[in-house]
Amino acid sequence: MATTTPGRRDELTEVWDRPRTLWSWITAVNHKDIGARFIGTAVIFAGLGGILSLLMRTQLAVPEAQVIGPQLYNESFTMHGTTMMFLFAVPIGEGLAMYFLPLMLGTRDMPFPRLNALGYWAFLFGGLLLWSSFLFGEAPDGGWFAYPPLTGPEFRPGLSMDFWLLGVTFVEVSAVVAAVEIVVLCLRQRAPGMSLSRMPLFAWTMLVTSLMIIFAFPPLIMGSIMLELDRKIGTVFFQPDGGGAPLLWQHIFWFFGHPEVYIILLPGVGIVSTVIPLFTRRRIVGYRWLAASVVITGALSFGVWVHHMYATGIPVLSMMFFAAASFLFALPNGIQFFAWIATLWRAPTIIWSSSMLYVVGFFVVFLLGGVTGIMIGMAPFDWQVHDTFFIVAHFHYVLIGGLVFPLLAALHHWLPKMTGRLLDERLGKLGFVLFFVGFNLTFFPQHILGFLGMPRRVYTFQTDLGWDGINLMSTAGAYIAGLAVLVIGANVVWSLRRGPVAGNDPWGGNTLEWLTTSPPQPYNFRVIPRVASADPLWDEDRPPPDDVAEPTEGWQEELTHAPRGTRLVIATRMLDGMPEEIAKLPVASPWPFWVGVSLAATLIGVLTDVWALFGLGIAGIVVSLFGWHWRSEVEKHT
Amino acid sequence: VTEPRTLPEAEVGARSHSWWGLVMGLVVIGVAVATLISSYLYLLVESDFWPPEGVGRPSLGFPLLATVALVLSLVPLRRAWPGTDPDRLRGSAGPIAIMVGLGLAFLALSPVDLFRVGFGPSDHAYGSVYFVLVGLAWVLAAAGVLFGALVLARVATSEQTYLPLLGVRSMVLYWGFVGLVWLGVFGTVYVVPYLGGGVGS
Repeated sequence: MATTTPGRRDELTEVWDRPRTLWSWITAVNHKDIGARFIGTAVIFAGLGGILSLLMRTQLAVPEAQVIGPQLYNESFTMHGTTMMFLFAVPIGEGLAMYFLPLMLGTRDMPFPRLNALGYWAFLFGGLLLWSSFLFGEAPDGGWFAYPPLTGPEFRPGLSMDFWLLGVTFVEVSAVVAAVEIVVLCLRQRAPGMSLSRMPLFAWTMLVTSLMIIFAFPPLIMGSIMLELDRKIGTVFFQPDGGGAPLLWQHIFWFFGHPEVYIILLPGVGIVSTVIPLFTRRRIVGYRWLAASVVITGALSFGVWVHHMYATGIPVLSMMFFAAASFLFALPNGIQFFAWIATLWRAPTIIWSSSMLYVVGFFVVFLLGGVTGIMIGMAPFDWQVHDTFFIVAHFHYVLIGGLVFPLLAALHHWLPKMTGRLLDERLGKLGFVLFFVGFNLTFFPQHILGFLGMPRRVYTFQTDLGWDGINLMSTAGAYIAGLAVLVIGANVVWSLRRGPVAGNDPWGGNTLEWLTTSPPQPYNFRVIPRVASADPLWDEDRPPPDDVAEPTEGWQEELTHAPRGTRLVIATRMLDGMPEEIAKLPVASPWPFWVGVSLAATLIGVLTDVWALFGLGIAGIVVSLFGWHWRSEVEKHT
Repeated sequence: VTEPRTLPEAEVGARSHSWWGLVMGLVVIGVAVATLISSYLYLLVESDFWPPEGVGRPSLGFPLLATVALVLSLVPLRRAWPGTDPDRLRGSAGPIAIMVGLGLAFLALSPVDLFRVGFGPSDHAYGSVYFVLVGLAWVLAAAGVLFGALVLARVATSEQTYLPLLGVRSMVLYWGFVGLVWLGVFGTVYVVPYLGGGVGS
């Protein structure tokens, strides 16, 4: 093994690293900085959303309780749903992708680092705008889907839904710019030799997820603008009195909303497909089928939105079409489950690590969510349980099963790569048991509550309806799940302080992130690896670990030091992953921050009717974009 | 595998990062516009009368003039296109200036009709979608004219490196996209009401 050349590494560090100052934190654009912030901020928002859910479950623990009144209950379920869908589920998937995809794909950064940073600021400011509504006593209370006319100016005067519409729009801008990044990264910036058919399955799922975001989020952005115009300047898009159509909002919302379910789920599919091979010591079975199933899922998800609207009186023929389309999901989901089972079936061993336990938890919980999904895909059944707790149980099985269980698997799997330290396995398994039991105790009884007729979105119930014991059980489960979250959090804190050193590759990984150091160097890879299979680290000619690797004679001199002090990456051809050009990436920049601040000022100006602030914000956006493009940092080095 | 040292640097061709980024951005805007056009058609189908009773079909004079200005502004873009050669940037300045001028004419002509129709965006759903569709197209065009002016300034003042080249290419693609958007909006707002006599009339 060749020895390292410290001088070159120092040169790379100098170009790719940043000083530890507040200003450099604000101007940072590196994918690991931004990805970690996305993940951390999403986790904080999830904590806030979780507190709201405990508030609601406490209120519903016993009949006719008065822990929180009806208004706070309405605000709680609205902000819980909004937070979990817009401020947790989507950003954390994108954050994971931002942090790990460049590592898995063998490159040094995202293709548009400043856009990456803008995505984070939009996410942060949008989330703060939404949650600041509590401070002003104007928290949104119209449900996470904000149906008009309930959310129109007549029935929701005040600012509550303005906070919702503007905050959600802000956050969606963040999701869209991050999605553009991820698509271009996956298609254009992989390790030499990594053809699309060798791309890790997590990258496949994030590629499809991002394309779905690009097509699904703009309709809701436009719909939100239209509803805000109804509220602010009196247009009547969704107001029946003026000839508008409330159902138009539902079409727009669910054209976004159903793909959103899969936007949330597919990263989980990618995580599960990443974890299983490692802990079965076996290459995934049906790699190409899995990749194809992900693409099919993404395409189908745009053709089923009306199954959320069976109760709105749409024509029978339309319902039959959308019911049939909904059942088609059994095909790609079946492929995924059978591929995972086949991988486990004849595996040489199964290592029951914490990650693997969460994967099994995913199997059970998501499968149950899928089964109830088939039930409510049938319109007559849906009519019976519509707006009952059966639906609440169903979508929590789908969303927590499909995302949170895989995310917790990812936490135990990838955190050592981020921090360089392992988690405690005993605490990890205790956390899993508590979470699995707590989750099922919370939500399984809610199916029965739904059958017994308990509606959603009611803040209390009478004692003679037969719902008392089941609600108490559900609340107990919620507190057990909350305890599980505390145990998992304690494990993370313990790991950061005292966890055993992880080393480059604690699990014997198959993908490129395990080639580099833990935590990775600012430049990820000193020597950009070449790839010849979908599991490059399990090949016989496995590349050497990056911290001891030396470039082959004459190979990659251009990238192993930093000529002209620039950040360089290899751009590759879309299909076969062959190198095509050297792309220069920008260094740290304040402009993404200023664009984010200006956007926030613009939206706050609209919210408060302070039009001078609105104008200032628009001017700030124009000036910031001008500065962003006029004299780019890349150009200064050329 | 090709060695990096032999690879070209920062190409701006049809497969470059910048091209992909721009196309993705245009797709996002295009989907948003398509949502609004779909909303127009949905409201039309759901209405008993379209345009509403007492509202005539839209007049075509100024919108047609605006369309002519926009289409004419697309013509010199072919000459403004620098390909991937920075040396051709100087030749782009004149066509871009013409595009900016005709773009300004479009910006002046396209909203005139909004002041003459006799109804506002708050009067009925037809007015809402009419004003917002035309307004959105105007905003996208205004951004394009501003973009064109900035690119023109940059081409005129900076060295002929790949970044101004990137700006010109992006601006040309964007302005072509604005042309497509306007044709979609024009067809929806100004032509559809004339097809089949309009709903209910």
